[in-house]
Amino acid sequence: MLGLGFCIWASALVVAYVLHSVGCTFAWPTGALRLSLTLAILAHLALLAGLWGAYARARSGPELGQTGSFLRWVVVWTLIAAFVTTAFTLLPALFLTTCT
Amino acid sequence: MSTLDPAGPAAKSIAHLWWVMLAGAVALYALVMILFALVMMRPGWGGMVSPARWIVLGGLCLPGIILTPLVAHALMTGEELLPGRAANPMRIEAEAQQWKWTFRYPALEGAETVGVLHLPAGVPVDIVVTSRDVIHAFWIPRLAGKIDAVPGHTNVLRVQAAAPGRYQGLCNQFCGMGHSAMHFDVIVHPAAEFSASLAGSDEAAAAPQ
Amino acid sequence: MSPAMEGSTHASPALRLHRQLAEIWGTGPGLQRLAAVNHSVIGLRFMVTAFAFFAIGGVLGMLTRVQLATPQARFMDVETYNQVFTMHGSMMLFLFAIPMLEGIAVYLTPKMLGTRDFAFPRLTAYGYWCYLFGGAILTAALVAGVAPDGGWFMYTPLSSKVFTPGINADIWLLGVTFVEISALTLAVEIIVSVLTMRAPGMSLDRMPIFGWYMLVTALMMVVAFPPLILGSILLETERAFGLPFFDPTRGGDPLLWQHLFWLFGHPDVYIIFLPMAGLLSTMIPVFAGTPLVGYRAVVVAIIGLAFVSFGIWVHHMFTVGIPHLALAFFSAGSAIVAVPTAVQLFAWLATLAQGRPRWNVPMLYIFGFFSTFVIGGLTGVMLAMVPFDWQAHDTYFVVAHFHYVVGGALAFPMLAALYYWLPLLTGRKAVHGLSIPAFWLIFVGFNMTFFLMHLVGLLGMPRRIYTYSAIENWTWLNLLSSVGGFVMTIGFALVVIDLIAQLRFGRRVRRDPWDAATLEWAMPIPPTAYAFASLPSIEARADRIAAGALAPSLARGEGYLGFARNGWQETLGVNMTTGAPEQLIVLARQTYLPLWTALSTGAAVLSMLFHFYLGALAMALVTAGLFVLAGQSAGLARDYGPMPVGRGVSLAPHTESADPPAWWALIFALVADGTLFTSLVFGLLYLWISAPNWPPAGRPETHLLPALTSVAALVVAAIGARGALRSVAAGRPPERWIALAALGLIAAIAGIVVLIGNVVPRPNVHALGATAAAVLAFVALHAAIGLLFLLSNLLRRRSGLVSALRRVDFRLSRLWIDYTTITGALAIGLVLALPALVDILGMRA
Repeated sequence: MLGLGFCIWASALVVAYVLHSVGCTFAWPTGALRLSLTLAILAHLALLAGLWGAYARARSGPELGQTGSFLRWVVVWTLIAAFVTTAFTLLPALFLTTCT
Repeated sequence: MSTLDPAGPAAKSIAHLWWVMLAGAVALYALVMILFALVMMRPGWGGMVSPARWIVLGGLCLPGIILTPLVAHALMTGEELLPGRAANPMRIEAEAQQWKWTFRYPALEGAETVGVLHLPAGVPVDIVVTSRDVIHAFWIPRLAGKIDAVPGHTNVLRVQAAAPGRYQGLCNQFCGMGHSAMHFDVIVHPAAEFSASLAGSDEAAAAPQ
Repeated sequence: MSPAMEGSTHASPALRLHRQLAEIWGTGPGLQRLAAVNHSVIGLRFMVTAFAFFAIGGVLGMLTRVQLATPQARFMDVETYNQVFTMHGSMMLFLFAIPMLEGIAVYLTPKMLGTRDFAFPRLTAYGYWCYLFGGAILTAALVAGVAPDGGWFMYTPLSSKVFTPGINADIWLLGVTFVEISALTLAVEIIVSVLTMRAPGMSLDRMPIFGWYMLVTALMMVVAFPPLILGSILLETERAFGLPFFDPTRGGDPLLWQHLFWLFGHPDVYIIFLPMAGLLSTMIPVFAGTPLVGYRAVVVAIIGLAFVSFGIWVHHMFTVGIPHLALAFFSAGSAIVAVPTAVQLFAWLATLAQGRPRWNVPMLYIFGFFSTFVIGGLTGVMLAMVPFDWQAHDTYFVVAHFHYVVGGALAFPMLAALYYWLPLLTGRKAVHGLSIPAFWLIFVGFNMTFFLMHLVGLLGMPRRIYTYSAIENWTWLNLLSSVGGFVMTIGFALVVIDLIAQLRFGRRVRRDPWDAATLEWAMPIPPTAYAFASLPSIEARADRIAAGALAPSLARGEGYLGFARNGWQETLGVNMTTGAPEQLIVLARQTYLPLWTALSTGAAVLSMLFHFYLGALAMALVTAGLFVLAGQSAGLARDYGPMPVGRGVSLAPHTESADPPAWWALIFALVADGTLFTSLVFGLLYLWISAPNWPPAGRPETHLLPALTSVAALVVAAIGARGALRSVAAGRPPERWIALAALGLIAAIAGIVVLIGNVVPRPNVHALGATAAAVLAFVALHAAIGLLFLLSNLLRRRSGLVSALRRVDFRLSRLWIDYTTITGALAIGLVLALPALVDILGMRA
């Protein structure tokens, strides 16, 4: 759970990088490549945002007590950090020239 | 060979980026060290600010405020330096091998020079870089950044020299015994005289490095 | 080793307990030291050996500075220089930095977490011997003048057989891989130990922050090392057998090496930094006199740092011709990685601000850390900006940058930690006469050496040139750099003299000279082999413990396990999350087995090195046999059921537990192995999409029959493993099921051998064939190891080490064979899909 947020970030990075190199190799039209990248990144962002919301609302079970609330705090903040990281690392690139 | 003494637009914009970053870095370094000195020398001074605020202000806000415009600026600078933006400039092929550079000029039927690169002044040129054996890197520090010469791949670097003159180029990726000496000369001619002067420099074409 | 107990009222029970435990845990004298498995002994050996390699690497660094002090110097010829700088980098990274952090981890982690040893003491010892022998091979090559000379990142094709025909590159590939075995074994061990072996009551939120740092670091190692190990194996295979993974003329790609190398290489920097940051997070609160500020924020920061550090490897490859859009991902990532680092820096500053910091020698080095590391971080952000990197890449600016980072992240915190924990190691209080001038010499020398390199790099000086002509301003900058290097070396020499003086003349001290707040000080110093005479019960965050006050009661045996039983090395296993005690862990005693196993591994490596492949195969089999043999002396020969562990608690031994450490160890080992498999598959797809000379001349063929048979055989093996486990659980003999599983594995190996034999194009002709064969060989190898698992099951059942309660062996076999089946199906599916992949290439632009 502690790594979940950043695993999604890692998936976003890998998917974007692979899509981009496949698109450039097979000469997809610029618009289509840009659109597919945008959709892939937004899908990951949506997933992160959804999890963030779900975890922020969830209550940890009483049996874990302090440890449970500590873990929940850490999970929520890793999700937030992963959301910001995904947006910061992947979105700006969408404005750049695609294949040179 | 100084990158801080640029002689072309690419090197110039990168040098500008460097000076901006240097100023920011000096300020940030001073900030951290002054904070460190204060918390060590004046116990209780930093206790007025809550721990959470220390971390949020210093760990999140400070880098956020600095990194966002810096990344944006650097990406825009990078875009401007890319080849393929201006309409079809002249292409020159640079082929690296252990341990010399061979330059071919397709625009000037079959012209070839070894160890000396001829460029026209004031116009962009795309250097198409590849290698015959191991990985090398093509670099003229005063004109532009570098690009690797990778066997099996071709890379393109946009180069432009502002004025006629002589410059130094070198191999910047470790390539074996002769790496240290794998230099080349760059001779920039006035654009109007470029093809004539290249045709006239037969000795350059023949002489191996 | 005798703890100073004299003159206290509790002397007699504590002393009796000490004698009993020391008898069980102690390492014998003389040659028996070679059989040591104790974490304090091995940890110290790691640190001392790493420091020796640091000295050798340092001397090599000084030699480069002598050569570069003046233009056109004749001090060294180019061949020597290339070996010297390559070995300087390789030794500092692989033989000093990583082993040093491993040594610190081995020595400190169990003590800080309140347990008596790591989970697999014999594996710790094996890891140490592998490291020592691998380092010895590299050092011997240096002395013999055949050291690696292709730079510490060994870019191919320069490191390929064509351009480096000698043995030099093989020494790097085999020697470093040998050392990495130790890194991987230790990483798995650290993870399992941190997760399952802590003091009772130490839930995750009460763990000292160093525990979090080590956990995250070890997890990073498990994922970071496999790509490099894979790359090294592939490159060595290319060099030895001509399989063209990286040869651009036959469909390979030199850039694949760079991706694999930096996928390891970049996280490696953080693997070095995080443990040191953990030490800083432990020391700074002690000197500030207040607990660490922002514990939770730091945990989030190190998790974020760990992940993001994997996503920025391409910033070492900004000039290889990757499109700008893709570079932007990695550029922005390399910038944002500064945020979690800044969170930690400001957490430390805030901690100092909240307390009343005191100045002393460790704090001086912490100042050195702040000053150096911040500069390294700032130049790191500069280099993350793509256009600037195009200019600065591979110049002395980069050399300056990474020395600031590694110096800041490793050298200064290491020295701070050395002075802080020296009393723990020696039982003597520090005297600081020489320490302060030594610090200033190192600090001034360091900055003089490396700060000027920024400038000479910007003036256009590329790295790795063995000499230069007297142009521009390079000359005086290089000369001053070299002078600074000597000042720094004198400083390090003073540190060594200081150390000897302290060992010799330091005043004896009984415990905890710092008013520390972590458990490693809750024991008499220097520590005994068993570390804690009884284990503490943790009721608050374990970095807020009055360690000095707790120590006497633990020594009297008032915690858990404060007694000796059956001559067992006992410690406790706890619930991962809550820290509630769950199992009684009985650890393996000292043995020469790790030494023999490492020697036979070393013999296999040396045979490879000298192209004696049959010998290598034989020694690999011997090594495998020794591992199976090691299994024969682990565990307990009968069921015990719950036994008292002190404080009114009774627990069953780990052999009867559902989740003993071995189970978790296999899971994390498979994570590492899965990373290797994924890297291999990505390698194949990477070549497919971007290597030159694709598609190959002949269209690959599919051999459906052997492919499907192999997959089916693997499924049969998995069924057999399940049946065996069910039989054991029900108390029935499992032999028939084991035979079925073994038959399945053998049939799968046969089918895969047929497939490899029919790979088109042939593996030595084109990279397509080579990678297809590699993927298949991976599966065959795992099936073969599966046979070893089954063999071990049979032998251990014969020896009575398995029962319906003690059945984890069979669960391990089932897990391994399941994993083999899944990767096997994926691998064979990929090979079947190759013709289609090649057809798709026809649609390329």
